[in-house]
Amino acid sequence: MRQPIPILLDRMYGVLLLLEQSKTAEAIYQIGTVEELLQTKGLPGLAQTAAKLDQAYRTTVAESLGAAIAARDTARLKSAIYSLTYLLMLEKLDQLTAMLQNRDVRPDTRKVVMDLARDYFSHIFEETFGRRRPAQVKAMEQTLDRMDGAVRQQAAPQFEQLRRQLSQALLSHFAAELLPGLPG
Amino acid sequence: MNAGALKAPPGLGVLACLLLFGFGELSGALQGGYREEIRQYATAAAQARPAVHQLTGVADIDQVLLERVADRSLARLHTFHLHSHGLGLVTLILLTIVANTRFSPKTRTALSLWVALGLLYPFGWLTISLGLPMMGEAAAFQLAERLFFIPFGGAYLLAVGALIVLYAADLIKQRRENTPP
Repeated sequence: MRQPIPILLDRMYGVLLLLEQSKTAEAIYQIGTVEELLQTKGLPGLAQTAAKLDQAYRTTVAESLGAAIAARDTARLKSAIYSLTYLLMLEKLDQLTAMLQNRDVRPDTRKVVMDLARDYFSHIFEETFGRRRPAQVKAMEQTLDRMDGAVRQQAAPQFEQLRRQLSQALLSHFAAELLPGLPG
Repeated sequence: MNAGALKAPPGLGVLACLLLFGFGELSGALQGGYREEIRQYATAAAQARPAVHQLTGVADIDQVLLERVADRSLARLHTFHLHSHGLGLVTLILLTIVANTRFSPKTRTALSLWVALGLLYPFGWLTISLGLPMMGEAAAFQLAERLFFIPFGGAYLLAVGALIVLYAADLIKQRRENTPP
């Protein structure tokens, strides 16, 4: 059974689709409804998530997101969402790094986190860039496959190496789309 | 067994089957009418036990972990619903077969009781469904195994095996009796 995807990811994908069709006003409206929906479910919204990640990774995604919404700037909004996705992926990979050191963490819990990191990649980066940059996306997919294997085998050093490889690839292949100053 | 004069199974056995059907129906109705409430109960119970479900404090990871608990809890309730109906029906057929054998009354009673014990087996799925949010899937499964699957599922399996053997032996005996010297 495929695991459910987080509401945040689902809605971020919806917002990106609207932005790709240059429906900026609808995308901004959608962001507003996401905030409401997540709050009613007791989950942090887009801005709150961005602020939390900014604090953890010393980035300025929340500010960029707010500025892009205020200016109704499609390109900046897309960039903020890609950057937020990147940080959300990084957060999952950092969780996995910690989990791989801890023998008490069950394999299925590790799998949930790995699948989630992969979901962020598949739904946002692969969906958007799969056709435009197939070679790079395919290479990153293969790295994710190997990371999945490392997680299963609980091979922490191998995972760390692949994690660095993946973040470097994401930062270099999507440098034009991501905000500057994101951590590797 | 003579199809023309089929004997009814013991009344208590039929009642036990009907009760299991009733529980199956009730669980089906609950799933249909209170699906969201069941999910909310499972999520809240799991959320109150972060160590059991290895919650991380990261919102999206925990959301997936909690949704999995809710999904699995509902899935086990659905299994209970299906097994209750299936086992109720199969047991009713088995009790009818036992009632219509040429076994001695004592053997028939013992076999009927033995088969009817198996009716408790599906409650193992209900135990998992209710226990999973509180103690995790592995522990809930172990509890169900200890309380229901091994004793009653095992008893059912053995009862069916015993019925097959006794029935086959009786058939052979009948053939021998009917064979002219």
